[in-house]
Amino acid sequence: MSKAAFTGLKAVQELRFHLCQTSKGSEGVRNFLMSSYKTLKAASPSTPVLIRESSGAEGKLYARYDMGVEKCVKLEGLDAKGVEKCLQDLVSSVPK
Amino acid sequence: MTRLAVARKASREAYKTLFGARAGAMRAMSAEAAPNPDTVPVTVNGQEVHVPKGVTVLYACEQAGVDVPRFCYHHKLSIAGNCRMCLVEVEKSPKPVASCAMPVMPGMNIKTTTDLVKKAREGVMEFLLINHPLDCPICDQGGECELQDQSYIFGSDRSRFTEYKRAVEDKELGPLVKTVMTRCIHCTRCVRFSTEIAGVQDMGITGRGNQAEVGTYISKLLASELSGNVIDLCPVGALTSKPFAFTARSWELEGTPSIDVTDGLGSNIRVDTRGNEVMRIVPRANEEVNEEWISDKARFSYDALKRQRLDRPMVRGSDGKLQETSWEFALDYVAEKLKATEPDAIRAVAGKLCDAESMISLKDMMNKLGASHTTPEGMANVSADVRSSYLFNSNLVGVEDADYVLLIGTNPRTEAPVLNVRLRRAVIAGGATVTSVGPNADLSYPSTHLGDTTATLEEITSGKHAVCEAIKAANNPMVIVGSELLRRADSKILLKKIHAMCDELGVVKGDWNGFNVLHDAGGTVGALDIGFVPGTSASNDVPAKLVYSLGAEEFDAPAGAFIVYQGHHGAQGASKADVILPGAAYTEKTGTYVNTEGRAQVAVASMGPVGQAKEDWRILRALSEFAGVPLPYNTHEQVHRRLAEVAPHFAKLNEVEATLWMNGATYAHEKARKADASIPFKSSVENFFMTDVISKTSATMAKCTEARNEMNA
Ligand code: SF4
Ligand code: FES
Repeated sequence: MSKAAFTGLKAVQELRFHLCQTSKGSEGVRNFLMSSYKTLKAASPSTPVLIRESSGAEGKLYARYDMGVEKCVKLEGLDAKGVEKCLQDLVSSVPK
Repeated sequence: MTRLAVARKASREAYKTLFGARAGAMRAMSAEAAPNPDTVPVTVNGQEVHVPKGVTVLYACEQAGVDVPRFCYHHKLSIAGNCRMCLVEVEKSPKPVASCAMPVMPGMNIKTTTDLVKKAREGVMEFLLINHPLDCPICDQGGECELQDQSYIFGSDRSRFTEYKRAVEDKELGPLVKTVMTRCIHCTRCVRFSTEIAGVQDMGITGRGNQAEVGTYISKLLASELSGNVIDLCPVGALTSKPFAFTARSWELEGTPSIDVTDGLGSNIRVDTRGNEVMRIVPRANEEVNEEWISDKARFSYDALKRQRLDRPMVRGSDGKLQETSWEFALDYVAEKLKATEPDAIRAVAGKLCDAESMISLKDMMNKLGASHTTPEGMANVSADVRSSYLFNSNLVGVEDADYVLLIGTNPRTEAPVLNVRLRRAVIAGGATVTSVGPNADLSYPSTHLGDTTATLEEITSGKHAVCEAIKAANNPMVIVGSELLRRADSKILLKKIHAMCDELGVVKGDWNGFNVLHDAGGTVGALDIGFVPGTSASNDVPAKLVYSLGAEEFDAPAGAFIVYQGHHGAQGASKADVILPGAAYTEKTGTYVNTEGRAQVAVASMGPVGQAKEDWRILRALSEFAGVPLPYNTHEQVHRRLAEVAPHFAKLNEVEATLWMNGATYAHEKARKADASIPFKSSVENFFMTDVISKTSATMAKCTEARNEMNA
């Protein structure tokens, strides 16, 4: 996956991933972060990508845009590809 | 591969080694009814219990729910067996036995309610009281004195003693511990604490028999950051708190469970108040955090809660002086400024003692205004992305499993004295090796100083240093990075190297994560956890025009910038302010603090804020309304729910979450640069007694500093 996939990231103020450290449902989130965290940071080094783990937590992704607007998608049960898709949706749908 | 540091629970076998199998087994196991090859059956007052082999008779009694009076025995200290108060009868034993020192035998028949036991205890009490003054009415221990309690039960109502009582000269132990040594019953708890736990060989017994005296051999203060704990340990009124002396009786006090913020451990404390005044602070036991100890700063800096307080809103008038004003005016004034300033020129800085609730309120409000330049005080450079990169991953209890500890830029003795107790135990009882790159300090246990330069560190991280082999060979190697390293401008590049080394040398392997960051204040981890870091659009290109300091003392503000200070003490930060919004200190608000291992704990308000001051998150909630960006929460529960929405571990109070280790990805995007070789590593704590706005305001802490300087002079 290349940096180009996340070029829209600069329009996002902050990303927050919620996940469980061990659950099956968060496996996709974990795999995605392990493989793509570097790419995310390379695409936009100044964007905080907060990875917040807690046992039993549901896989979720929050994006914070300008003026404190937040959007959330559920990632529970998705595989790494699905997580990436959700992220790209959030990144490309910047609210006006 | 994801590597998890499995959260470790309190029952650690590591304790075992400390005081022999007896004490260890006591804590590590629970008595089970089912016969088990490692347990033995004993009878206590006719009731059969199964207890682990080798434990004491006293432990067996406790398991059976039978209380045995004791003075010298303490489960954290070695067994002295010298007060004889714990005598019980054991069948077939010719004499009563001291239960704290006697190991159980299979089939032992223990009796604690017989006439013989009663007579023995009465005898011991009579002897103890021969030389004990009858000054309970003027003794600060009165009401919570073990000797007083026991004499109610076993004391005689008249004395057979007609001679003169012995008198002992009081000892000078410094500004914290008051001594009335005539009251001493020579249990030696204080002596054992100093030597075994605090690791200072200052206290001891001089003289024999009737001449025996407890004290420091030469008159000097207790050179320990933990000296206040002897006050709790002393079963009588011989050692009491000097600042608390004659200020209140124990039964007038109301205790509230709280969390200490003066260092990063989040020690559990109880704040004792009378009316709207903090009278004293004592520890609460939490085996996983502070065991039963707290540092002297946590215990004694409370006098500052009554000094130099900001108790009413103030604005700087046209004459340049701060003037009292109303809340309404102050909030309106700040809100207008916030609205009129372009968002990119707004900065928000969160101080190191802040609760998570106030920080999330400030962050949310700033974000809603379009400002995203939010930083934790002094930590502007730190990445909050991955929790394992800024937490104490092996947990505080994990320290006792470590067999090799590399300290980088930290002096745990001054930065976290209670953690140092565990480190000391790992060294003395567990045989761990401690080496240090950073300050060359006396840690109260043997350690090797490798140097204090980045060159030394780079030698280690590149695998060329001699210690690398030892780290590799260790089963549970541990690296402790001090918070001062995080404050360096080149911190990321250093951390990148340290992370790579952790992978390389097996500091992180299997379910062991030995990469640890030791924070030095109660609010920093909370700030990082909620992501109180600059957002994407934040940049320093636009110079700051408005700085909002939430209790931060040190922050950059260009001349002419409008400064809002919200906090509780009038010090460095407030002196620069154009508007002061008086907030609450940690004892005056219910707030969540995350300790250095990532454990979220709630401190309950023990009293209301002083004067017109308000709880901090409420001030921000009100301000957001004035600024036209109302925050979506109105109650403490709602803010707390918001915290859990930002980071789910806030919903799991008192627990430690295992952290994800990113296998070097954390700093992969950092470009390789050279670290700044001109700055040596040092500890973030120069003077243990004065580290934050509260301890710097405290008169007691000032006295301690003076006494310590005199001693070292
Ligand atoms: S001063 Fe207190 S703790 Fe120390 S030996 Fe005497 S009675 Fe025990
Ligand atoms: S408690 Fe057993 S001898 Fe003191």
